[in-house]
Amino acid sequence: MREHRIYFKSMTALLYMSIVSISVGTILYFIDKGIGLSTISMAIYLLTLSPFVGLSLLGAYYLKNKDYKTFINVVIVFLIALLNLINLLIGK
Amino acid sequence: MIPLAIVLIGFFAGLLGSMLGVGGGFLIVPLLVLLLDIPMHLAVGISLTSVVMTSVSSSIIYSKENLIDFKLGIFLETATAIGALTGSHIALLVPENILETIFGVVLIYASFRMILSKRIKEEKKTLETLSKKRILLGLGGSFIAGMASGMLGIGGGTLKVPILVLLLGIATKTAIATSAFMIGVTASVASFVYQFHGLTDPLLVAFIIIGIFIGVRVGSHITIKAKSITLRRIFGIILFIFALRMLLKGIGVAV
Repeated sequence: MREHRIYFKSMTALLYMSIVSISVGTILYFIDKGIGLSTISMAIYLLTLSPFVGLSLLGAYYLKNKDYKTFINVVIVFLIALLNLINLLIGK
Repeated sequence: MIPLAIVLIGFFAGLLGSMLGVGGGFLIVPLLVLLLDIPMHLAVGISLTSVVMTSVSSSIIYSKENLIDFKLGIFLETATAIGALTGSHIALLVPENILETIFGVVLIYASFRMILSKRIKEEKKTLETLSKKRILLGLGGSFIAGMASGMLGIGGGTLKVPILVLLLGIATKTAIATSAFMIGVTASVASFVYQFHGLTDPLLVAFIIIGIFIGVRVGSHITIKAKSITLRRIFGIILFIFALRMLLKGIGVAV
């Protein structure tokens, strides 16, 4: 699955960044509650946004390799997820 | 004591989630609510972030084993996303108990087929080699799974794996790995919304994630080594419990 390397490189990088931030945040929490919680929150944002970043990179990869059919699928998933997100945010 | 209990909840959710290609929300939410007395909305928010974590870390392991069919996953995710969007909008038109009864019955049937079928035709199929009829069946099934998700707020994995195995004839291990990848995309959206509204507890999530990380490593390695029929049966039993709970809730029996 060499073609998906770029996707998983970005996902893995984000995952490890999040794990490191969460670990640091947990330690910081016991020293200073406020700083600890903000670090952990940032890590959670990184975690939840990682599939979006991954999808963008995957889309870019398929576009570069002229696999337009899969590229359109990736774009549709991304847009629908984004629309759903906006809809839910405004709806609440 | 409480942090250890939370790590253990994460461990079992990660273990089952990665082993069966489901999110593990059906385990995290009731345990957080019943054992730790956490409000339902907060428990759902925490569970969704945990599902993203389970999905991302299982996907990394499964992709190294070439078990995920990314093209098929993304293709079916399109229908699921449209279904979820439709479902969340028409949820108010159909009474929840009717939906729960219908989905409960369908899922009990699917669980029996997963448990009892000794020989489900499993082939190394990809999006390109699937017949048009099967692709349409898969798209329809994914759309309905998405609608169920949007209407009833249930996770996608419990519906996605039977669709991939029973409707499309995809090998059980590939179905589990592909479903594990797909649930991350779906859960990330809902998880972000819950965080936006402050319905999450970063410290609880931190402890759950530690458990998930260990559980996923164990669970995914069990899946890689286990026989397909064993995985199907374990999945069928979990699905049966889940479906029975849904059916009983639908017909008004307290569970």
